[in-house]
Amino acid sequence: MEYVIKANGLNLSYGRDEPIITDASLQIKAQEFVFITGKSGSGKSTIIKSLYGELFPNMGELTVCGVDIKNISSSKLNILRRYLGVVFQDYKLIDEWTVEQNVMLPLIIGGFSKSVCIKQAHKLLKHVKLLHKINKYPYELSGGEQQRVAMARALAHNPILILADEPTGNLDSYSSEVIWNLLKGAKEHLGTTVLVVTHNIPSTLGIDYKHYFLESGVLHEVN
Amino acid sequence: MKSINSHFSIIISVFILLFSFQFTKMVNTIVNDYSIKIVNDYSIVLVASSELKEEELKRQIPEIHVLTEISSKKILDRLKNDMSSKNLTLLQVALPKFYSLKLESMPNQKRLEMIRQKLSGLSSITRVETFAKTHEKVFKMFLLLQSMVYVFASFVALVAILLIFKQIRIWTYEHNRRMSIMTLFGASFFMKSAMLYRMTLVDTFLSAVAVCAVYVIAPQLAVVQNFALELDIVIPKFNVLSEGGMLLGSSLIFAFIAVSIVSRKIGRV
Repeated sequence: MEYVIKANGLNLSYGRDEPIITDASLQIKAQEFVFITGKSGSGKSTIIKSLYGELFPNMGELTVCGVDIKNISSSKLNILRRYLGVVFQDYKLIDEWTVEQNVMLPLIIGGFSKSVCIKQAHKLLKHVKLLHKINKYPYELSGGEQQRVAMARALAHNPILILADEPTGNLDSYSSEVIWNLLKGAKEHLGTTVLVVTHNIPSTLGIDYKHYFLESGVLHEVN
Repeated sequence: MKSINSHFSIIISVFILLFSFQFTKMVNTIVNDYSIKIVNDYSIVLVASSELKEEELKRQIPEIHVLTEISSKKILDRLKNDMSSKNLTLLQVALPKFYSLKLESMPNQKRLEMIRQKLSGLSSITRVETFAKTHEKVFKMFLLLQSMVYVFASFVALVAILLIFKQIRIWTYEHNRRMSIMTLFGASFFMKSAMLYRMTLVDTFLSAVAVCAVYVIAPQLAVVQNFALELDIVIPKFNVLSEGGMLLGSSLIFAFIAVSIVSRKIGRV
């Protein structure tokens, strides 16, 4: 599998509305760190949604981890999602579960034993400096803390690909730094491919990355 | 508190549904027993000029249960003192034969009239008395009782089903977020529904046990026994193994269907 993500002539729209993304092409190799930037409403989140199968292409080809998203079955989509780590703009934490249980979610779905789940959750929560809040519920945390929990959850099962939708939007500088360091660490130490959708690329990232710019539904590769 | 309410609303809904189901079944058994009683108490009286054969009559009227000759000895015994033995012998020879005809089930008015006509058509039968008016009254009461039970049970079952549908809507709202998030991380249908399945299975199991307890304990209460005695009915015994098993099975099937509806409603994300 040369490309983790490969899209050709991709058209995306919600229902029968006008396409939000038109004729987009995207090639992302394993272990690459990629940014997609663009103005608000340009369709950045729409691309992310298509990559984890929440939105299906109207036209064009799209493969993620070698799997054709356009013709994927429900059971195959479930399996694919177990290899992805997704960080959502609105965190998507389960309110009735503790921080620890939320981080353990992908591991439970992956069928890991309880001891492995707990050990891994503790390790990641230590990384995001939230080990002391292990038994708290999401509504007891600040926005920045919730985003760090979401990041720990995305990394918990060592995914092949991390998809992060505005992971530092509205966060304080401390939380932002923790998140960028985690994403960098995932690429450098675990060989994870990272795709981040954001408004701004941090100037102090200190790694090589690929950059796509989205304008009026058209994706341009920036050199 | 919200969680306790959620548990209670499903326990009560399933309890009502299973209770009405079992109640209909029980009343149906009582009504059937009662109808056998009515059939046993009812008979058609036939007057015939010659001896009648049960087999021959059964060939024309299959619902005949038994044909019994009514002995004329009692009438003759009463007249013994007023008549000479010669006249008594003559009367015995001239006296027609009386029969009591019992049926296997309660016929409706139309069928009873057909039976009467068939019997009247036989040359040896001179008179048929069906006691149609008395029969009609009893039969109508019986039908009314049966219909009332069905209407009542249907109404209660409808209310229970509406409560359950309301609960399904509440569940869909309550579990939507968690199940959607789990779907986004690749949880299978059963995994994301597991919590709801567990909760519903426990609640419906409790409902089934409560219904079983009511039907085991209630017939043993003095009030219920006196009531049954006054109405001259026998309350059927609740069989914990077969009937309890059926209630438990039904409640588990219900739980499975209800949760599957919720999970399908939340569906693929």
